[in-house]
Amino acid sequence: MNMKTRTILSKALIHFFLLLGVFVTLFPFLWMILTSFKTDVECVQVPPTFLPQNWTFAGYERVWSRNILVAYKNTIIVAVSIVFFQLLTASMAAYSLARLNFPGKKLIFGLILCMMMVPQNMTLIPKYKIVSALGFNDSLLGVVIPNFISISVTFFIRQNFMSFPGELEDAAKIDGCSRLKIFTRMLIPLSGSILTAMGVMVLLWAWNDLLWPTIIITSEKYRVLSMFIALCKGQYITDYGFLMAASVLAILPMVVIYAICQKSFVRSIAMTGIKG
Amino acid sequence: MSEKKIAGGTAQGTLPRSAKRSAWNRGEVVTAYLFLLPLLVGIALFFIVPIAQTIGYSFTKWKGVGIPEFIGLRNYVKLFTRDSKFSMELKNSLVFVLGSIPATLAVSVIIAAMMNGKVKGQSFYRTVYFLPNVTMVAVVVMIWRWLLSTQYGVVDTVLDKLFGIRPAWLSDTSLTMLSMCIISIWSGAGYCIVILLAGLQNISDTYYEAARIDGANGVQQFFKITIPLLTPTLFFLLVTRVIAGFNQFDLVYMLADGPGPIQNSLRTLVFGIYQSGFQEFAMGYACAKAVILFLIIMVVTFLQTMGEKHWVHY
Repeated sequence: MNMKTRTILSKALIHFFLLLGVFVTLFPFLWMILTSFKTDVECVQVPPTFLPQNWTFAGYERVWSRNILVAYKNTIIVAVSIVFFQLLTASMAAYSLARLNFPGKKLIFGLILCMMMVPQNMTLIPKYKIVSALGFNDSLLGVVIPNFISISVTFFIRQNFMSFPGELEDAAKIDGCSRLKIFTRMLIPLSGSILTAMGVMVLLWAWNDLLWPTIIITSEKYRVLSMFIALCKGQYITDYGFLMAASVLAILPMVVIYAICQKSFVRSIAMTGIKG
Repeated sequence: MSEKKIAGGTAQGTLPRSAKRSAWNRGEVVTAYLFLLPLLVGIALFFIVPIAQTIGYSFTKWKGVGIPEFIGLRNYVKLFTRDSKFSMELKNSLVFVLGSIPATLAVSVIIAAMMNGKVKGQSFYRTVYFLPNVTMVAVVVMIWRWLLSTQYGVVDTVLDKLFGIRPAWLSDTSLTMLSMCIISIWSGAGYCIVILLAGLQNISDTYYEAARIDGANGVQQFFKITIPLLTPTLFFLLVTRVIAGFNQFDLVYMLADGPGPIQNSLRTLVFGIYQSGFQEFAMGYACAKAVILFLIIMVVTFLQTMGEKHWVHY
């Protein structure tokens, strides 16, 4: 009996603390959403109101008139291209590294492991010069180009390709399948789950990245969403209805994708986390 | 181009050259290199060349245009003797890493341990806790700037009601770093929780059963079973989070509105690289900072790996 009450009590205590954590996590989002529907006068009311007194879309209208659509379009182009190219180049390289024999394989794989150690921020300046020399400064291509490959995505897809049994390929070879066909018809279709997991991970990173676009892009017409938010911060320093509406719009696509592909997100995190 | 060099290099490196060559299927080798080509071009162009250039430029005075002027170690000498901003960057990066990462891990371990096992609503909790991780840092900071605003912010309104204080979280330079750490913990915990939860689910239930039979209570189980068996995951998180911490840029960029004491109280190493390189156009100097960043990360990671055997149980 005593034991039972203690179990119930400890369970209740656990949920109490977990719900406290939920509150701390969700309240900032809730506050952002509520503020985005308040008038600019109500935003700076002391003390602050909880629910908007008059729900208004004025903040969203102001964001709209600041051409957030262009930032949206740019972000989508950049993020989708980065995901596409990284998955393509990584799975191709992973196929070579995991399933084929060729001279220099160990050396190349060693090189890849070494490159994983190098922080991307170390090479910002030469990368900027290289991208400029290629003529991609201040263009969306300039944001995409240095990110068309990914060392870590290659590494994780290779690990996945390694796990396929060799008999699979032998059977395909006997049936007269070329290597290209083995890659496109067998390995890729069998790797849906790792490719989605890596895809959402890269998408999230590309969507949210701030530093590299800030370096490469100067024209307003090429701004991505993260830059849009960063630049609004300076110009609309106290217009919180506007800033919160822009924030809601900037994160909405990733939140929706997260809600839909939650399993892939969690899998990608767990996969990259358990390599030790 | 680059892959040919690499291929040639190894072919010479492996001794029984003719014997091995015949063992290789020519079609297979050609396919392999064709498939590797994009990656190798990318590594050459955006990794190897830039790394070499970063090191090279760090010994030069270079405005980003024209020919870099070789000045030996003068950039490095200046960094450590005459640049008060760089010492702030070093100090702030260190304080930020020490102030945010152990706390993030501690919070995450506690939450993950509470979520583990037969807890109702586990996937609900996980969904919620991970949410800040899908939010871009630019927006995270935007929200927190609003929450922590001294005049209109909800945090200070509550603190004022309860204790009659209104801390200037984002403009009092003795609090700005603390605020940055809090924001970092809030946005980073979810990632660690998900990884730790995966680690916890690998711990066999039999350990806990045995402990219960021996009469160990929940707290004892946590410190004697959960933590030791979780050390490999914790070690992985520690190493990767510390590296990410030293690479912090977005938070500083979003929290500081321009040059001044607030920016100085927050400026990190990567922010320093950005400012020297892309705002002051002292690109050679920025490269020297980048080399120091790399060395710091290497040394810290090395030290952590050295310390690994003292506390990580496999």
